[in-house]
Amino acid sequence: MARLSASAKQNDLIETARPSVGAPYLCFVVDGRSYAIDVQIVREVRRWSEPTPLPDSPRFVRGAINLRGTIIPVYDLKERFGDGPTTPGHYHVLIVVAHDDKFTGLLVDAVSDLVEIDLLAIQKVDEANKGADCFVDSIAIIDDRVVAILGIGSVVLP
Amino acid sequence: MNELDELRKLYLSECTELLLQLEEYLARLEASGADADAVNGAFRAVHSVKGGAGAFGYDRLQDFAHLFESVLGLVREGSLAADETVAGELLRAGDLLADLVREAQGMGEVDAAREQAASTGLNVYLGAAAEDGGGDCAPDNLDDMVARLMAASGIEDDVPAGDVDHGDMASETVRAFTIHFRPLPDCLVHGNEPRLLFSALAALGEVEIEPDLTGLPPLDRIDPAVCAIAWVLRLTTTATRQDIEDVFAFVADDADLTIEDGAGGGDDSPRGGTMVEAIPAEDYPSVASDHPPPAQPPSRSTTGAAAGAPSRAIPSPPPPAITLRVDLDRVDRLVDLVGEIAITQAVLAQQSQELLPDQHGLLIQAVEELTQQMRALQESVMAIRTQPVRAVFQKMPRLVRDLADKTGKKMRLVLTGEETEIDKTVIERLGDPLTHLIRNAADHGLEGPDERVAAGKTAEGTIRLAAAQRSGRIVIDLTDDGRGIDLDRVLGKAVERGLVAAGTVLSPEEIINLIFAPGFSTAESVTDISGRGVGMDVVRANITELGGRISVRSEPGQGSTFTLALPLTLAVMDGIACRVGRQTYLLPVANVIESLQLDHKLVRDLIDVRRVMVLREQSLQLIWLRELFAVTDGDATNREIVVIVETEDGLRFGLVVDELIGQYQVVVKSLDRHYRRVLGVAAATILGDGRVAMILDVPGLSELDKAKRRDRRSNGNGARN
Repeated sequence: MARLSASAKQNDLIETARPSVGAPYLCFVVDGRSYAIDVQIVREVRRWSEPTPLPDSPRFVRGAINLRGTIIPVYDLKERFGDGPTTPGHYHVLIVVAHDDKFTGLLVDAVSDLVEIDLLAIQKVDEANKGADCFVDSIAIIDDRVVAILGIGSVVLP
Repeated sequence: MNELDELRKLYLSECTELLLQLEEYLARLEASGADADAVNGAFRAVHSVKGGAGAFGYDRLQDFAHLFESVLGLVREGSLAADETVAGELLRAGDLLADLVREAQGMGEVDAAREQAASTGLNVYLGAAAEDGGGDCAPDNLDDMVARLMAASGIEDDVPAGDVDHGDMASETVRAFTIHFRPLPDCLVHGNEPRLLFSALAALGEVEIEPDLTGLPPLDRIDPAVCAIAWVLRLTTTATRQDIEDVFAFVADDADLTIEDGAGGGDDSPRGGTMVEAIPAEDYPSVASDHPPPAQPPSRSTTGAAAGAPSRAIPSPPPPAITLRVDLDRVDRLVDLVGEIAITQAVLAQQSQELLPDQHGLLIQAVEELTQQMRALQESVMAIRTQPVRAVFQKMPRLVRDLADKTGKKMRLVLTGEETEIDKTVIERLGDPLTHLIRNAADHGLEGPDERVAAGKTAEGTIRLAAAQRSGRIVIDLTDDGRGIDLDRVLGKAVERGLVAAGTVLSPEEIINLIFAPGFSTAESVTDISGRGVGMDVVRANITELGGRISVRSEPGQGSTFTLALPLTLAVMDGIACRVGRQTYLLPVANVIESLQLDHKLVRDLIDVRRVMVLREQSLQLIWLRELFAVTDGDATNREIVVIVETEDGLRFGLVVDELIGQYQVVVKSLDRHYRRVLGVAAATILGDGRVAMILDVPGLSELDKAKRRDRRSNGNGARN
C-alpha cells in the first residue's frame, strides 16, 4: 500500500514525522476522473458481467446480478453522475459495496490503487457548495492528483 | 445472559411445546371421555410445567399447575369422571395455564379474577373428591388438602408411596433432609451445573454441602468432562420433599438422587457407601476410551428410586421421535446454500451436454447422478422447513371457546387435516388471517341459537377448518353453517362506502368479492370481536403476500366457505418461463390461464391507448411486456405469444411475449433485500447459466401498465396544448 500524506490546503506535499492516522481508501476511475471510497465498505471487486435489466428503475441502475446466490443491483456510476451511460468492455469492473446492510455493485472504468489518506488531509466539501446531485463528500490531494471521496449514502438509493 | 437465564429461556420455550401437547390431550379428552393416554399425557405436560415453574420462582404458575395437576390426578385414578362439564373445566384451566406461561414469558398479564374463577372451578372437584374419600376433617388450606389428597391417592408419581407420610406435606414444619446427589457421567456434558442447583436449594433453607470424592478415578484417568464428584447435602427447610425434587427436576435423568428424611447419614452413611460402590470407577469413561458412557449405568436401578425411576401409575409413553432444536436462521442458510449449489449444478449439467460422450462419458454420468442427488437434497432440505399446520390450527379451539363466551352463541370447531405439512414461514403468517376469518365466521356467519332453531338448524353452529394438499398447493377451507353472506347488504354497504356507484349492476361473484375491497369493513358495532379496524382486505393482503389466493363461496341460509390456496413453500415456485428480447421472465403458474399465438388481425386500438383482442366473443386487454419494460434488445418476432393471466381479484389480461420456453421450478430470491420493490416484479431467480431472471407479479404488471398509459396520455395532452 502506498503510504502518502496529503493536504488539501496546499498543493505541496508535506512529509510528516508523526505516526500516520490515515485510513485506507480504494481509488478508481470513472470517465477519466479519480474517485475514492473508504475501503471498509468495499466487499469485493469483480469482473464486469452484463446484468439483467430491472424494470421500473432509474437509468443508472443497469440491472441485477447474481452474487453467489444473492441478487444485487448494479449502478453505472458514470450515468449516476449524469454523464451518460458507460459502454463496458473487458477491462471494466464492479466494486461491490455495503451500505445500510445492502450490497450494491458499482460499475467503474478501472480500480487504480489502494492508498492511505491522512485523516487530517481530508477536507469536507462545504455543504453550501454542494449541489443537489453532488456525490462527493470530501476532497483529498495525494501526490499531485486530486481525489474526490464519494459519500456512498448519496450514491446508493435508499 | 447468565446460565440461569439460559435455563429459564429453555424452560419457557419448552412450556410452549408442553402447552401445545396439553391442548391436544385435553381436546382428545373432551372428544372421547375416558382416554387413559390423553389423561396421562395431560398430567405429564402439566407436571413438567409445574416442575420448572417451581425452579424458576413463577409462583402463580406453579400454584395453578399444582391445582390443575391434582384434578387431573383425580381423573387419572378414576375418582372423577371426565364428562363434558369436567372436560370443559379442564380446557378452561388449560387456557389459563397457557396465559400464565405467557405472563411468565413476559407477554401480557393474567387477570386475577379469571385466575380465581378457574381455581375455584377446579377446587370444586378437589373438595368433592375429598368428601367422597371420607376425609376426617375439613381441609383448612388448599396446600394441605391437595397434599393429603395426593398422598392418599398416590398421585405423586415421583414419590414411592412408602416414603410418604402425611406429615411430610405440612407446609410450615421445619424439617431436615439428607440428599445424596451423584451426577451420572453425562451430567455435565448435558449442560447441567451443580452449583446452580445448590444455590436453588439454598433458597429453600439452610444447606450444608459435603463432597463425596470416593468416585474419583486416579489422576491419570480423569476425564474433565465427566463429573466424578458426588455430594451429600443436608437441608433444613420448611419446604416439602416435592419442592426439593422440583429443584432437581432438570437433572432427573442425569443423576442419581436420593432424598432421606432427617439429618442422619453423615460420613458413615451406609447408603452413601453403597452408592460409591455401586458406580465403580470403571463405569466412567477413561481418557483413553472413545466410547460414550453407557446411558444407564447398572447402578441406576439400585439407587435412583426417587427421581430417575418412571412412575408405576403412568404407563410409559411410546418413545417420541427424536427431535433437534435448530435456529430457523441456520435452516434458512442451509436452504440458501442448497439453492446456490443447485444453480451451480444446473450450470454443470448444461455445460456437460456439450461434451462428447465417448471422451467424457464418466464425467457426464457423474453430472447426471449429481442432478438426481441434488433433487433429493433439495427436497430433504425443504422438508426441514415444513411443519404440520397443526401448529396454527391448535390455537383455534381456544379462540372459538372465547368467541362462544363473548357472543353467547353456541358453536363448535371441527378440525381436519392438521397433519398437512406446509412451510414454517407460511404457518407463522397464517395465524392472523385465520384468526380473523374465524372471528368473522363466529360473529357474522353464525346465528344465535334461537335464530338457528327457527331456521330448522341445530342450536349449535359448526365451524370447520380443513387443510389438504391439492395439486401442489395447500388448500385451507374455513366453512361455517351460518346464515351466509347477504349480497344485498354487501352491495348496499359498498355503495354507502363509495366503493361502487349506486345503480351499478354486478354479478353475484363480483358482489361477494366486494368484501375484500379496502375500506369495506362490516360490523363496527361488535368492536370487541371482529370490528378491529382490520378488514378482509388485510386478510387478502396477508394471503397474497404469502403467494396464495383467497376466495369465498356462500349460500344464503346455508353458510359460507373461505378457501385459502397457499404455496407449499416460499423458497421455490413453479413458473412459466417466457422470453422477451434476450431476457427470460417467469410467470407464476398460479396466474397463468392459457396461451395462444397472437393474431394481429384481432387486435383493436381503443381511445384510451389500450389495445384489446377479441377472444371467444369477449374483449381481452393486451399488454406488451416489451413495451412495458422498455426492452430494446433482440428483434420483436412476428410470431408473438399471448399468455392469458389472471390476478387474485379475477382481473384478466393477455401478456404478449416473444416466446414461451416452458415450465420450471425455480428458487425464489428476494430483490428488495439489496435493492427495493419493483413494480411488476415479485422476486428474482437464478437461471441455469447463473444469470438473474425476474419473476413477474401479475397485478403489478397491470398497475404499471395503467401508470404508463396515464403518463402517455398526459404527455400527449401536454404536446397538444
